[in-house]
Amino acid sequence: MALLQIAEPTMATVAHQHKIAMGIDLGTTHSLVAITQSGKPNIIKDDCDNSLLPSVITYLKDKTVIGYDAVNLIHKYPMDTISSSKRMMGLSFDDIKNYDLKIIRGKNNSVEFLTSAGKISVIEVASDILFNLKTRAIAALQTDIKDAVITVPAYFDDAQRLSTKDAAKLAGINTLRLLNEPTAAAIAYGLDKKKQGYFVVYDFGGGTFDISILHLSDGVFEVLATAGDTNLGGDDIDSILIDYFNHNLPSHNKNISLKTIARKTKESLSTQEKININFKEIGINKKIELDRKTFESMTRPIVNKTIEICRQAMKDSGIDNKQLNDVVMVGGSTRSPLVRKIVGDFFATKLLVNINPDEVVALGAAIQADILIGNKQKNSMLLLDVNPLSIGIETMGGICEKIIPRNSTIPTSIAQEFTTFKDGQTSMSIHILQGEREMVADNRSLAKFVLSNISPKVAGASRIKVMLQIDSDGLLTASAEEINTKNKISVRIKPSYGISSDDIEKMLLDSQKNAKLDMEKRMLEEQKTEAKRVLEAIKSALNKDKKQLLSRQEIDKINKACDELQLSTLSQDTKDIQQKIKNLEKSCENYVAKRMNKAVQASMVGQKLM
Amino acid sequence: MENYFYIFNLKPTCNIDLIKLKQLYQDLQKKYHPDNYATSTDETKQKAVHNSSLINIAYKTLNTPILKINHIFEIQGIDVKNDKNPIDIEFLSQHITLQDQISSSKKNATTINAIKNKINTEYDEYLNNICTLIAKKEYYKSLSLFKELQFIDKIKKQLH
Ligand SMILES: Nc1ncnc2c1ncn2[C@@H]1O[C@H](COP(=O)(O)OP(=O)(O)OP(=O)(O)O)[C@@H](O)[C@H]1O
Repeated sequence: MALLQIAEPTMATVAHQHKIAMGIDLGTTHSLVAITQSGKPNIIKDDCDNSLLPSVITYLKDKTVIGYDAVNLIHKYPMDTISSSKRMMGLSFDDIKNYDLKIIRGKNNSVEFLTSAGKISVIEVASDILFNLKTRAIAALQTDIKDAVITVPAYFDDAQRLSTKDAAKLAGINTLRLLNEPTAAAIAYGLDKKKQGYFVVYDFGGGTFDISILHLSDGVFEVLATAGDTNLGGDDIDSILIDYFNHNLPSHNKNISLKTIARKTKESLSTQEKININFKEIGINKKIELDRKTFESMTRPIVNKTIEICRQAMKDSGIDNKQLNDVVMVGGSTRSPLVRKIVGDFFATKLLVNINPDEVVALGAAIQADILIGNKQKNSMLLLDVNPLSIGIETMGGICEKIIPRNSTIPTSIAQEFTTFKDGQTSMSIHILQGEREMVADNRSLAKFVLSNISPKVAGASRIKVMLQIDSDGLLTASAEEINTKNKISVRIKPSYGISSDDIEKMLLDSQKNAKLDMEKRMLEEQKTEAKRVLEAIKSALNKDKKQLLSRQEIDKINKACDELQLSTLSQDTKDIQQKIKNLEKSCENYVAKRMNKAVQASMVGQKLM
Repeated sequence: MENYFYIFNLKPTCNIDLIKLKQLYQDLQKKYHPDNYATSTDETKQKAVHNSSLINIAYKTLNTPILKINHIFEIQGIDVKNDKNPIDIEFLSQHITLQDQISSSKKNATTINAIKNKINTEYDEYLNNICTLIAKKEYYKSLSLFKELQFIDKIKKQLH
């Protein structure tokens, strides 16, 4: 097949009409929307003049609360308030490592949150955030807006990217392009206009740290390496301050949250040399004086951790500091002078800090959105991305054969031939994987599908062509056909735990109905979760010390109650599960008492047992 | 059979001007990249993805000497992979010895550098000779050299 004829892009016919598209930074802790107006990208603020929208939502029975208002509800409704859900985007229930009571196994193994408003999927949370930002933009510009460029971390895989696009669809947003966050930051600084260069994007936010090393050559942005820690951020600096306060304050109720004061202190010390911290507002009559030098010596280890990660990424990228042109600073924590000093020293390169570090990604996305919607002269810029991870196919012996190597310029499509391996074979299973490892088991499984009705021949005689295509958003399509026949199958890769496009359509239509909660179902799920928790707790306790504390009979009794509870969770009977939990607790009364005694004795002896 | 040279309106020869190729590549991508069709119909978008993919693959093929020569053979209907003629024994034993030297002198920079220079010179010579033969349409003569070049290329990558 040669190049296909394509009519001129539609925008040519409506060149005079100015169109509006959003740039959206869908962040872990904060999200933002920006729009390019008169050639300049601007952040769209809410009614209260806030630029940032905390990515936090409280799902209550009768209403949904989002943003700063939801942040204020975290303590009141901890089970109904969802934050940092981006960390779970595109993951299956089995991928979740930290057991969180809010999370349940949803349809097709997806992750869902159990809230007062019913079950909410990760995609719905993202969609609600996107919808809020869209509404904000429409209100500000007084015109309907549907199109957006949405940013994603460079390391997002196919499932994570697809989930982001699905969330947009659910929010009634047409995704013009998914753009890598570091690339967006680079565009905001106009780096794409340079002929070529190497750039580092250092992104240190509230809860996550990312570094990407980009190479630009004639309009091709290539991510050479990316690394990071999804649990390293400004929050860790706050924790150090909280410990310091606790140490220096007279004994007080430890439940009082020092987090807000810690964060304020930290942010003030970015501009002031010394401050007096007053604890009056939380009812403690004491002042602490802290200077920047002391603060920096306490928090330096956190910043040094990011440098270790940078060192690794530089090594992976195969370039050295001398080749670097600029370091782009992204994320609120890069306002800290200490961070700037250490990062500047490490890379020995100019730091770009002029643009507000919380906003730079959204601004870059808005610039790109304006070009894609057709307001800039056509052909003015070409931005080519690469795929971050290799795509392969399972072959005999559990080996992953790479078909599209990582760092291939996208879009791309590659065909590979396979043959049947058995006489008379009439179907072939095709297993598509993502990752760099040799063995199938070590890579991420994207999809499995079957080409059937293969004409039976001797082994190796039927030839099957498998085609893989990655589009410019990094999303994959696969098809397989038997050569010289009409036998063909084509699939859009959907992670098996994602939602199908039919589901999305349905959810769009039913969104009102879905909002109503099904109390019965929710109670049942809650009891099941509770049963699971109780069973786990008792089993782990038994494993530790049943031999020392219990007789055979007692162990048997508890085990029996456990079994009964386990069995009841398979039913749909909420009351029965509740009863069986009570029974189990009762049969453990004696055991619990003995454990308590033991713990008390141990604490008197000292802490040797720990 | 796709002819990647035609995509850039080039004649299928070994000697192409890489700077010119890059320019042609960028011009084509500027025209066909899906970003230009972000607001078009799905059908048009799909066509753009197809075209843009093809241009990317074609560029990579013509911009990488080994892939380019392999492609020229393909166009001539010569199946390099399934060619039954064995590689020259002399050549093989020499180069396997080289490979052994590389793995046994991992840390020794002078030895490695010496081998690197040798391999790079050899690589360039082979490329030159193959291209001359191809220009004279002596495909089968160049095929045996090409198979040796593939071997040299492997060692080159190993040294990288
Ligand atoms: N002036 C300042 N000095 C030091 N730290 C600051 C300053 N201003 C904001 N921060 C910190 O930046 C962090 C928030 O950064 P940002 O809004 O970029 O997070 P985010 O990108 O949404 O988070 P994540 O990277 O986890 O997605 C908070 O820890 C905040 O305390």
